[in-house]
Amino acid sequence: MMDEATRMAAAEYVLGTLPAEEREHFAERMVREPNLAAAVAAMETRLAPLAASLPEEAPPPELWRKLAASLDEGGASAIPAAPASPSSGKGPAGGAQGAEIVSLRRRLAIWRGSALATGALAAGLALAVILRPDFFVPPPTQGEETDRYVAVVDAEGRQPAMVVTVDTAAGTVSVRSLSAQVPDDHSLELWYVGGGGAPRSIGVLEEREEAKTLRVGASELATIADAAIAVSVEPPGGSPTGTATGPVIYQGKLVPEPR
Amino acid sequence: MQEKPLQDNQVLTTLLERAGRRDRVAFEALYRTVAGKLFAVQLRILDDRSLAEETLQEAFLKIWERASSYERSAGAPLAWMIAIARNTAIDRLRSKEERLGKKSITETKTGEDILQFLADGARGADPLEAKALRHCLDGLETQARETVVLAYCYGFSREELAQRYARPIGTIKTWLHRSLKTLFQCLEGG
Repeated sequence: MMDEATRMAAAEYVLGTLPAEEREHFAERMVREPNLAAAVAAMETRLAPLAASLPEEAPPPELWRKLAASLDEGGASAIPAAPASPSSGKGPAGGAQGAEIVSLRRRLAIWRGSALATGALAAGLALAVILRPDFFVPPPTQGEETDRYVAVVDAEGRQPAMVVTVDTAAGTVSVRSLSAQVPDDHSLELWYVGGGGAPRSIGVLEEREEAKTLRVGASELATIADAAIAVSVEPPGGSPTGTATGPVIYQGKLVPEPR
Repeated sequence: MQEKPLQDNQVLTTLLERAGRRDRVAFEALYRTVAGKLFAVQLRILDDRSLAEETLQEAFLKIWERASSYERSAGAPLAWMIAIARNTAIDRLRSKEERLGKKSITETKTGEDILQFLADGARGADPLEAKALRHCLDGLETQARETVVLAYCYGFSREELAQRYARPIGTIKTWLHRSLKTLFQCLEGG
């Protein structure tokens, strides 16, 4: 049990009202005293809803690029690069610089009438699309890494549960589930929606499958700037009809941001 | 559609743990997901966009560095990241002699809007924690509640609170201690 003075210092540290010098001392104390740090963490969690309820403010898009660059500087030697996802030949490190947000739109229109399993899926699933942009934009000036585009659909404040990487150079689409939410007895089917034609299936993420690389034809990549990728819930193995039969849970339009 | 904060928590935890294993894609997804929240928190405290952009980067570097030490028992991942963002912003604020010419903040803010956000059922906040906090804040006297919210959300220092309420700093300190004691007793009592 901590004494009253320490407890008050902890509370004021969490609130932020400790004067600069005392604050510094208190922070040093926390490093030495795990119990104190734990008490502070508990208080921080109690008050967090006040901060979590603030309306979001979008940071400038270039901030991620700066952050990624400082990760590279700070960690290039000390921290090994992230392992490439099992399915993706392209590791994330090379493209980490210069991500831009692509606008993605969540599609709920045909969501009604979904089965229970897919309802649970929809609640937690959002989609991130990562695109290598060298297809859209002139090659960067020499010395720069090529960029890629990232978007996380968080309409309604939802979180990403799946990352889709479109590598236009290699002609592949990599799908990686971050929370393994392909429901029992269902598959997720990815669709390429572009060029005004009917959606074409890119491939299927089976029940409990975590990652997969799918090939995309050159003709499809040629129109990818106008395309969208959609994900539907299907019977195991994918749609029996060649068109989406289950609810389309996400549709992401791939629009590169102008520089 | 109904929010599923628990599920969101699981996703955030997954992303954070993967970031802890140096997974850059997961870290980037984490950034895309929570940067707007953390930026909002820091912006309120610093009231200066370019400064908040700096502290946002700083906070994410800390998250990247500390992700491997994140433990589920330490609380929800969003709360954990919010604490890092808030502390980074407050450290920055306290390292300044005063608020970069933003004196007006101490005169105009009341924190009422933030209590309203909380009452509206904070998106992203754990509903049970939010409910408890709302209940316990409601239990405070108006002025006590206001000092807590102003300090927490706008980074008011004791001096700024003293100025705001035209009271000596010692009185403010006493107020704060009394309010915090009552507040945490209520929160910990369940």
